[in-house]
Amino acid sequence: MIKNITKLFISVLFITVGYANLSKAETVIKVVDWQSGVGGITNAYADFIKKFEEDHPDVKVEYTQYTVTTYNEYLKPALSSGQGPDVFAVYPGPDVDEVVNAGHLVNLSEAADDEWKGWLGNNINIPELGRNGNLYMAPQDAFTEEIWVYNDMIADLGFELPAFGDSYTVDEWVAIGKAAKAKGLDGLMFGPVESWCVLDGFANFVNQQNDDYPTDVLGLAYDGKISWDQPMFRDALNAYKTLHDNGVWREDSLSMDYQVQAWGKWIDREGVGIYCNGDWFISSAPADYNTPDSLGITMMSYPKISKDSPATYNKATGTNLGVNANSANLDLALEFVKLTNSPWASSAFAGYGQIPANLAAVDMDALAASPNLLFNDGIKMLATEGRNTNIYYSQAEPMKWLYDGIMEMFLGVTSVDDIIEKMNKETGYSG
Amino acid sequence: MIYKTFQFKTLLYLLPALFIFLVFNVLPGLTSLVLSFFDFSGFETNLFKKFVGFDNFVKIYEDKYFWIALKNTFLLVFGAVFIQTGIALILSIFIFFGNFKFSVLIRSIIFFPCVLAPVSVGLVWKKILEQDGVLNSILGLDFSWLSSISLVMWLIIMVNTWQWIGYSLVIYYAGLQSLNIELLEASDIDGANWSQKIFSIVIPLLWPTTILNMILNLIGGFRAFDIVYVLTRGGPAHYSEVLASYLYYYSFAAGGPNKMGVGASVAFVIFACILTIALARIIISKRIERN
Repeated sequence: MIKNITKLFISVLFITVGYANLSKAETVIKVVDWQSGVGGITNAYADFIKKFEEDHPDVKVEYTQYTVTTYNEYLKPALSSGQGPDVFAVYPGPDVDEVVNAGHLVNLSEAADDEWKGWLGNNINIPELGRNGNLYMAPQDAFTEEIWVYNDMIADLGFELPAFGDSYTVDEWVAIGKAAKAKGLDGLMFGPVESWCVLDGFANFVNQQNDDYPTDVLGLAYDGKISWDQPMFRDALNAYKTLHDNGVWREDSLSMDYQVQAWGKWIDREGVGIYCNGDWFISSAPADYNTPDSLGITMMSYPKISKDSPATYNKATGTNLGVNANSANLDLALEFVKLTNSPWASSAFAGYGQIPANLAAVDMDALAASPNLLFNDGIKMLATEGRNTNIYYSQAEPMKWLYDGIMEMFLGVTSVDDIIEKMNKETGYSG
Repeated sequence: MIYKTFQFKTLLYLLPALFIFLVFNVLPGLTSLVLSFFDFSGFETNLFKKFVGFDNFVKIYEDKYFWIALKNTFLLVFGAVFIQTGIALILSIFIFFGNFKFSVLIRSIIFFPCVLAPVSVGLVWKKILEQDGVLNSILGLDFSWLSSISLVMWLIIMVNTWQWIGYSLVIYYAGLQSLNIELLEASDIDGANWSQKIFSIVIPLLWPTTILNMILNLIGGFRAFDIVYVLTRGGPAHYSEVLASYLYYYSFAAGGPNKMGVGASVAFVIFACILTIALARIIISKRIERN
């Protein structure tokens, strides 16, 4: 018996040692993000990895994509155990603060060379990519977050599309919603189970009425520095209430997510438009409505509170990559991320219908003349003049209170007044 | 000497299992308990950096969604313990004494959902219960079942019962097969009717099986997560949250509060609930045995 156990032990030991030596044969760089299902990113990264491995024959890049909702299930245990990947994306917002404060990210302000900084251009100044005056994240893709509609469905309902860069008002959406309902359709597909789908639209509504633009009034309100009891916040809440109470989206939306259900139903043409969509889905748009000869989809910003509201857009970077400060292959990891910011990589992103974040590194005019008409519109939309709305905030709890309040308002168990009162109380606004 | 050798060998054989149990059960459990007294987002390498005393417990105490989650958990446990066990008992007696030609097939059909992954079950039922789903098509309605705060928990209980009832049924069926048939034959001679036999002989004799089923369903009810997460993600607006999904929301959810310390305190509440019920069961069982 003892002999058998000894034999088994020695066999396992040999196998383990052998495997360990085999593994040492090449260096592995682990890259992780949450872009599962976003074809443009997947294809572009396949090119990046191929090029990187060609340039470094003894290095293998392992790229893993998680879904947006399950990403932190992987990242948190990985980072807290010290076994994190060499390169990883971080959700914009409160997570960036946590990850930076925990010392997991390399300070790119110090680590990036001049060539890399040149490629990043003005992106270095995007607040979401850094903390405490330092750059920690390298942006990959850029987008305008908006509403997409099927042109033929709008026409069937007897409405006219707004001029490019303009959008419908809340009241116009109510009318479209009612007309759509009469035909057994939805005005908008909406997936508010993902909180950003509610909060980003709210930020846009507020910014439309922000008399102090470009001051970030929502950020100040989240911090309790200004009162929530102001028309811009009330009107933003009322806009949501009007859209919901008038059935612009179905009641069932309250249990729907954006990425799978709302998007899937819009692809199935159950709704005229999809709320809180973005350029990141250009590569996944229905091919029949985006051919080199004709474009059957129009992108427009969030509903305007009134006809006179200024053009207001939610523009941001999508996946932002950081380099693990504890990586055993720090130089290689930095080199890989630098590659993803190069002009060559920007062209690769564009080639797959993904708008690169480093637009300064590419020829915008050439980009906006591709056979992918929806992509061209995405580029144009990103360049359209108008107010830019911040959508990434670090105040996790106030955002939770607001989101919960809006969802309860949809359910009819709380009112606009109650939300305003709670937000003032919880954020500590003292007048 | 022989006894000593036996003891040493027994311990030796137990060591691997004991090691795995300690490392993968006891240690994480204790770590989670300690973590509930710390402010930990989940990203820090040092888990125990910011001691906050009972702040995490105060936080959940003051959060109305915690009380909704607690109430829903007990509702789900109630459904699993009483509704699921009750229906399984009725079905098993019906099938066992019914002498159906296709008894095995019927049992297999009822058991079939148990072998499915809860995620698949949740997705299928979501399709059925959607506003444009199968149920509304059949009923000719345009009703949002999963967005109704008064109905959503009962629907979750229904789906949970549908999936796991076969499990309870199989246990009951095994209990019925081990019943002493002579007792029933004797009751026939005594002139007992069908309901007297069921209520005075079969059900009392099945009491240990019923206890087993109830305990298994109780634990299953407290741990239920997949069905809730897939069907509603705790929504709408946290109204179908159970403790396990509430824990997940605080610890991992995208766009959530990022507070794993609070999640750990919720885990402690779940542990305390199960421990209290387990102790109560032991005390009650001992009293019953004594009497």
